[in-house]
Amino acid sequence: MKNKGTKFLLRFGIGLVLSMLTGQLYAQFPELESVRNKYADAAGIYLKKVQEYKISLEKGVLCGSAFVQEQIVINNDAGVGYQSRSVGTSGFIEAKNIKAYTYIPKGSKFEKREVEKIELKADFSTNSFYDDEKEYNMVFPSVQPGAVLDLSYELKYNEPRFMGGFYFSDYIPVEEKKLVISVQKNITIGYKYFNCDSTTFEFTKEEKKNEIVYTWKRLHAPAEKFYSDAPNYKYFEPHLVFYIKNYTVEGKATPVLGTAKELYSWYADLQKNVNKTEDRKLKALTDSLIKGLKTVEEKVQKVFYWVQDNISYVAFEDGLGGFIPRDAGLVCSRKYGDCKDMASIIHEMLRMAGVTSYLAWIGSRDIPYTYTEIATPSVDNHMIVCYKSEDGEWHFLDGTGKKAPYNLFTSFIQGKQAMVGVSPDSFDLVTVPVKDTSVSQTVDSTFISIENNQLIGIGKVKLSGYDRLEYIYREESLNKKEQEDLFKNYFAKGNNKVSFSNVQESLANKIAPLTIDYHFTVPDYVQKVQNEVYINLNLNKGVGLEQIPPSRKAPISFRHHTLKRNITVFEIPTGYKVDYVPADFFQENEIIGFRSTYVKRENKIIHTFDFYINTLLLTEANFDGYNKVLNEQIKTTKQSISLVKL
Amino acid sequence: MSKTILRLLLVCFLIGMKSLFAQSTSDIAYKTYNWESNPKLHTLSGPEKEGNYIFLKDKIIIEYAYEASGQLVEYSTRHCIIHFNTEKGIEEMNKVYISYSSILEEMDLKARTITSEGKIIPLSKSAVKKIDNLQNSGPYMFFAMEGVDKGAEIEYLYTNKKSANTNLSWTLQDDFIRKDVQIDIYSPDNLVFEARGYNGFPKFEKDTSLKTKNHIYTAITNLPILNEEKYSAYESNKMRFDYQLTYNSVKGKSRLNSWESCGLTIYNAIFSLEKAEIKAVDKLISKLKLNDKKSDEEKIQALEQFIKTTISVQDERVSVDKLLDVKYGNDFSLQRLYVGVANALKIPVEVVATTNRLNRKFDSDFATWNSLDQYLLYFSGMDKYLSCSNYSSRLGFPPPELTNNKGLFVKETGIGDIKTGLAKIKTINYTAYTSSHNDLYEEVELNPETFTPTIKVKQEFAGYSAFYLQPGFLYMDENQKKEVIEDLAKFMGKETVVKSSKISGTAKEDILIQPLVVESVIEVPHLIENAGNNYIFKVGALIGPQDELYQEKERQSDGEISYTHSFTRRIEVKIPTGYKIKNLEDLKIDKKDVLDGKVLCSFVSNYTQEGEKLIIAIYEDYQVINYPKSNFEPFKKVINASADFNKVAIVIGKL
Repeated sequence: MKNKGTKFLLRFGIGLVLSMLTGQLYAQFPELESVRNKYADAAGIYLKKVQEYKISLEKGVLCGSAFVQEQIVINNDAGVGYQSRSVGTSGFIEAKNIKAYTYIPKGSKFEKREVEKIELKADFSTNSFYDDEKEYNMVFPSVQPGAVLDLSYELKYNEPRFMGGFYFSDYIPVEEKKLVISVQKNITIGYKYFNCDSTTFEFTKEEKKNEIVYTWKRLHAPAEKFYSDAPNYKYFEPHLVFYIKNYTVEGKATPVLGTAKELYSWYADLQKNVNKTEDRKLKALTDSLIKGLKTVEEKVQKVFYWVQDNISYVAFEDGLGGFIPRDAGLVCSRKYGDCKDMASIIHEMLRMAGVTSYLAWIGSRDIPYTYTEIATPSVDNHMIVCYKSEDGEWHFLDGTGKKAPYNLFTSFIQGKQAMVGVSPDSFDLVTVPVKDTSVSQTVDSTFISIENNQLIGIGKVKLSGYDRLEYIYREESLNKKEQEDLFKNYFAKGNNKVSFSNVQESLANKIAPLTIDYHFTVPDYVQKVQNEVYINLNLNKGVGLEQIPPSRKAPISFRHHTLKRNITVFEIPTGYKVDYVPADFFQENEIIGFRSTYVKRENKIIHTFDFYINTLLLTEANFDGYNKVLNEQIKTTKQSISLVKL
Repeated sequence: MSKTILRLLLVCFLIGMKSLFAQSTSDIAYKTYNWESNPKLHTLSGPEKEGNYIFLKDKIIIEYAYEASGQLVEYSTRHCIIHFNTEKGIEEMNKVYISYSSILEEMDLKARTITSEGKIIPLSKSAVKKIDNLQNSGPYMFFAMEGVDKGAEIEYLYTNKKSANTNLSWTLQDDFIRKDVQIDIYSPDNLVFEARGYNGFPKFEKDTSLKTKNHIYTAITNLPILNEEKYSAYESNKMRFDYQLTYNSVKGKSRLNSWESCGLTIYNAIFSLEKAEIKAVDKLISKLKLNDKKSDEEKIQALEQFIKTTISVQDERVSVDKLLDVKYGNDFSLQRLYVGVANALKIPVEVVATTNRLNRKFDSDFATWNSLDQYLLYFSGMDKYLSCSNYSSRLGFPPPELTNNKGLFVKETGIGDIKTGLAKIKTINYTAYTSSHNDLYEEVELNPETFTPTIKVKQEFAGYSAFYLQPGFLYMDENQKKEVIEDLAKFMGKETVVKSSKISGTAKEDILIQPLVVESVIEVPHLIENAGNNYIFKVGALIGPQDELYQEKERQSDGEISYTHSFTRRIEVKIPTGYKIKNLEDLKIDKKDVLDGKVLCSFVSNYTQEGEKLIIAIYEDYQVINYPKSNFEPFKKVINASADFNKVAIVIGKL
């Protein structure tokens, strides 16, 4: 029976709206038809998408607000799905005055209808237990090809430090995209471009009586293409980040953001009251844990593993609570916390153990920025603990990295810059190293022979570093049967008729590789024709990577560097001699590569196939080399050996 | 149809206001129920230690009682103890979510953690958060349990007073162990509830010791794990119980819910239109020129094609005229539109209420609204079904999980202007296997030097074989269409190089009427392997990957497929001059599942050779929906035959 085809989700969501006839006809959107023709392939087009910010001082307090307007024209039946829209709101950024209308085509004019009902719902992101983010949902009435959906609203920034991003393109084509920032003259702003060149936009700066108006305009922006294996679009889509540098009242300038120094001083202030009083229970616990331990390393391990094993991850992102770690004593008694809480308890327990460590702010790899290029809260979303060993080297402890060795931080902070809080008024910027292929490996060794036309074998696979963690993470939420399926998919052999038995997993401690021993049988794999036997010793041909099409520009993201090694030891059946063995072959570059070798030793053929990925981010410049390796890899792994009867 | 609205109507009618039975709250059962004052950790044995967590207790008490005002309310109590075996289990289950939709009053809520060392940490009330609308699932309260470690247990016990819901269905079987499950349902003397267990869930007993109220109960000490299996209706096979109010002595001696009464409610809600609605229907009929169509079937098809490309489904009930104006509405609103048009055109139509058989089978012996949550229209004149809200479906191809099931058929009857509804239980027959097929025609040439195969492919999808594919083209933009066509052309694997491809059968008039046809020219270098001078051609891979049941151990549940269908495949391979194929016999497979002389499913492949041309013909079909586990082996062999064929490779060597 055939695999089930892809189910196409029809884009018809749910919502609750009533609409009302206003009766009036409008003549609008003069360029509508030409825009629709220009993007004939698109289901919907933004006629315009405008964000107008106002930054001012009111009674000495910094205020930020924005007016947003979006107009989508429905281009064909497939665009009807855009009828359901939503606007996000939170304690920091409040949405209000939402107005939504459909302009329904009536001959050459339009009838304007208002969306009557706009519903608020909580929208917890999947990894957060509680946050204060919500959404206003609405359904536009009478949506049909040629209709224009007009949505506008205001945003009030209760913390102006959170203002600040603008993209020059969108998920559908945009005819006109505009960012306007009007700033009172006693306030200074800064901005930085990412992935832009001079052709991206038009920029004007206009000085008015009391304010300066900055305008960025982009016309005819094609739709962004979505790739599931691309990094966050911040890595490659043109955008800018802006921020408030300072404001001046009565001749006195107050810095807000600008360099890492201002950002740090805000962060340091937010967490100044954390762990002010020592928690006696936690102290007693820490004392008992480190009793008899001498070195810093021993103490760090002990404390880190205790937190790893005893504090579960529960994310609370409640207003500023999303920025302030909770007291270590509370985290200990609750036995749960988010990344900041884990950092808080590790930091405090290390202090109790006499080990100097620091809280550090860091962004996950979803965020491409460093504090050096731009220093706003948009750089980070995570907190860890850092300490320096006696040799002066920095170490990074991430309490959210469950089951990881203490010296293997989470893979999503590799290569990222950390802002290490050394004291209330000093910090260090330290870059987390990237772990190379010597750390993360999957080595699968099999000993195979032919029995009754079937391939039989025993094997042992060893997983280390991030390869090991990924497998453990996947496995732990599965039931027994699903775990068997996972193993079968991960370590596929021959064809899907393979059956595994005696699968024995062993994990000696937090640091040792995960080893899995197994037996297996594969029917219908060995090709026997008259006096000849053909067998492909690449039992697992796939590396799970695809050729990159020439049209692609977006980079590809990898979670970590890795080396996959398959060693296959084949016993030549008695009564046969080897007729053909493929030649050794390799194709390598600094990003990706493989190496295939065959050695005949006594009555055995030993085949080794190595495949490595040596990068976290594959950019367009390296696409050709990457494709070449994959192409050769396919050719190389489809070579069989042949045997003939003596 | 909006079940909630129907339910509310019903509850008002069934219960009536009867303050005579008002009960003092001190008698409510939850008042005397409590947890252990000195809890101890439980000792686990054997398989209980294997999962990430297990439920050591799950007790449900539901008590219906009258308020002083005469209003019937429901006290709903739940008491659970969960034991944690792993860190992952803690992460998944240390948070408790309680829906408080229709809650009138929170009576009691307590929770505690018993740590692995036996320390008790009570839940502090301040940790309880509330939210009005959680991901559109209504209001919830929730909290995270503190101090949970490996080996710990959490326990919670709460009671909420809610507006009475007098029929419910509760599924309790999962892929983790549940122990000590107890269900108690109490009701005032005049209200009799009936409950039914399914799939081995134990029978409910009547407690005769109580004089002032009714009490039914059941318990099960160990609810086993049910694992998901391929080709099975997993949800439907889980243990569950349904219960509902069946008698109210104040209202008389007759049974409250009957299929007839449900049918009448459905009839009244759907068949009668307001004046403005009738006007809108007439306008639509003339706009679509339905009277010009030749047959009833063409009229309904044109109506459906119009609605499914201009009106979308949103969770809101609107009148028929409003539906046509705002262009969205719920299933119920859409049914009224279709029925209104059918009636105006004098096309006989029935409303069919049923269940999704993959979630629960329709039980004709227990008349309950729980079995009436899926709706179809049945056009008896053409013997075809239509789903109003499923946009993959078209007339004649209702969602397959609603067929091969029983349903309540409601039609209009009467003389002159006096009309009423007539309800009958009938079977919703599934479509013939011949109407759904996926066919494949291939002409293969091998490059004389590299032996890389180039293939001219024609794929045809018809009926249910096109159900999840063809309608989607109406709702995609051009880029998405291109990607899907490319994916279809790459059905032999992502290494395929697509030289050209085109598609037909994607216009709205074609959907599930004409087949979807994908024609392409592809290169498949990965289908050729070499060993010295010989080439190994993976000819079986020309039919694409096939599902298999190789690992199936002891079958737990009956086999059940979505829809009946067939595959016809014809492959022509031109063998390069000077070469021959060494092992043609491997291409012959013949597996059939035959019961009492009737073929249930089959896979047959054969070949012929005409000069340098090798012609392979493969036919496969699944003629019935159900494959009971008692006779599962032949079905498994047919499924595996296609997967075995997929692995066939031929060796091509010099003559």
